[in-house]
Amino acid sequence: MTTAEFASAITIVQDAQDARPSQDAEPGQEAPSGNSDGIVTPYDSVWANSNVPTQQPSGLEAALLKEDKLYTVLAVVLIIWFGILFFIARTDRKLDALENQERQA
Amino acid sequence: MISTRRYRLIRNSVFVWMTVVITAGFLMSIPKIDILEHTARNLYFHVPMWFTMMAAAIVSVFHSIRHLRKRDIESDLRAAEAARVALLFGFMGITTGVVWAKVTWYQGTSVWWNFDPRQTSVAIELMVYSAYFVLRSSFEDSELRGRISAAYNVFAFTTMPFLLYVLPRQLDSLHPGAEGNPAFSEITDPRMRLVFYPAIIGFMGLFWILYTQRVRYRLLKNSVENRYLNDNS
Repeated sequence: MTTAEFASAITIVQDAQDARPSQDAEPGQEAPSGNSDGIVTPYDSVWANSNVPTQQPSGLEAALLKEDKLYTVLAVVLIIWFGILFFIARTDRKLDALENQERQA
Repeated sequence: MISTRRYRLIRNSVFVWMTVVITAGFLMSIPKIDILEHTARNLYFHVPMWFTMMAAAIVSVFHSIRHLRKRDIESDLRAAEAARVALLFGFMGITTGVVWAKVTWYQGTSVWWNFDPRQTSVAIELMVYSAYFVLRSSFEDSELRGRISAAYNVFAFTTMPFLLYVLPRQLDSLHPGAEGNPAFSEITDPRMRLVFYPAIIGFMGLFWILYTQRVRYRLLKNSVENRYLNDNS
């Protein structure tokens, strides 16, 4: 990517950001401009130019976003917990098999 | 020997029980407290680690005393495995405590650890229990190992009430409960007790599962080793 191309990419992104209504900005206050929010980096060439999804979250996504995204953490913790349960149950089965084998020996 | 059917029943109950506890721990409403915010939910996970460690240490010292009286191999290895799982819960307790303290006591600083009296004394407690395993590994003779490490374990257990309950309350600590037991005092919201007490029971059940697995493994190992020795003699 040449410098000119990069500069134009940045401009497009900034235009898109300016067009998007800022949620954080107070009325009458200017939203922080440029890439200060860390979204745009030189590595973002693929996603930066694509359209930021604007559709309303629905279904599972909406559930995960509720309560400051707390339910996402719950989902992660439950996945880990079920993984551990599966592992414990598997170890039990292996022990059962070995115990039977040892009883016959 | 451990009855498989009873074990399965308790194990599966603990699985369901803890799944409900974890879910409720995230979903139930909690009082909005400054600084703590959502980390108050750590009460359901961090504090039961210590209750579970205490319970595991009681199981361990029970079998050590039993070993001193009966001199059997099984109670020695039960004492060792209970202490092992106790240490696991202790390390998880101290690690989760460090993370929790970072965002509350030490928020806005670069401090992670500051030798708070409570943290210092539990760190010593974990070293006391680690020494039990160092001691165990230093014997070739299993009878000698059983007897001396059982005696040490009785000592290790007697330090626990002082290091976990007495000492931290004599000193100024950032940890709650310096004036009494935090779990049973007024400062715990009744809504949170609905999850907190079941969490303690659930984690103790989890200890029991892990401990039983380890004991089964050790008994098997013992049986295989004995057979091997007999075959070769």
